[in-house]
Amino acid sequence: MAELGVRVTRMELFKLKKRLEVADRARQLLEEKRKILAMELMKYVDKIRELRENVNRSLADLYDALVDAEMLMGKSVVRGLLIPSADRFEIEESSRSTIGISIPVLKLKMTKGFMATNPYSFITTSTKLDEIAGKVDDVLISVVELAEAQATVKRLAEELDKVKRRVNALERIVIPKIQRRIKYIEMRLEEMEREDMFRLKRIKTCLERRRRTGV
Amino acid sequence: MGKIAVIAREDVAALFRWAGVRDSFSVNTEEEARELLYKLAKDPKYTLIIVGASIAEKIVRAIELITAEQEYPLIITIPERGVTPSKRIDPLRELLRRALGIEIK
Repeated sequence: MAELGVRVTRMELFKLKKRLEVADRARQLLEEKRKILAMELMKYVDKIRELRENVNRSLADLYDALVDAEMLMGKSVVRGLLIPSADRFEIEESSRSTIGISIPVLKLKMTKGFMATNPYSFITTSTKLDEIAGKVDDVLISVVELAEAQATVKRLAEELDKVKRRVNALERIVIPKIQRRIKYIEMRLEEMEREDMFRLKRIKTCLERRRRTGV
Repeated sequence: MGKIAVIAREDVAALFRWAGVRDSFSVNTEEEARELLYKLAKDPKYTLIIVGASIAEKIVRAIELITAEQEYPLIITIPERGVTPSKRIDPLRELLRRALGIEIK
């Protein structure tokens, strides 16, 4: 195949060979990164499954406690007690770096205790209500853990996708293109050498003929 | 420092509101849910939005879009009494399938 715009020189051949070496090295490094990312991602996928079960379990506990409280005090009484309170949760976001990728870190902060924001009578209510409040805290803790793991998986998966695309581009486009050019230049150079050889032979026979005939 | 918001069925929203997540909302229609989610997602003060399964089921596409486009807020779907989130509403599933080539159970 004719390669357009390729200069057929030894210098160009040398340059292309160097480029092929660099491209191949980059491919190897990216391939390694891809393997590490895939392994890391698999670890997190298992972790997410576990954390999701935690969330489900803590929510089931919460709903059970709510049903218990409703049975003890009556549905309408419980509903009546569920008055909005002040915000007492905040999430602190930061990030850490794993294999050069910034990964989000979340931390749930309880700014106030439940009792500080929910002053209700201890006499008219059951301890079940306090239990529920504690369980909501558990739910939020597990939800924040799950959110952090999900965000991590998202970052890792996006990065893996990017690395995969780069490896593919190197493997299927960049490297074959350089190889094709090298082959083309090598063939052209050989061809030129043959032409030179032929020319030299022609000149030699011409000269010999002249010497013999004495012209 | 970011805040938490909850969009869920009224009973669940009331519970979270009482327990200290002041921005707990309940919605009646799918349209309302979608609008509220987009509004909350645009607000930079929220880090986490917890969506009840019954509502998440109706606005899967919006959740997927926000998760794909924005780093924050993170959206987590939780079961409500009697309703567990289906596999369909896991926004990571498609991403993982593409990246790892596996289906997550």
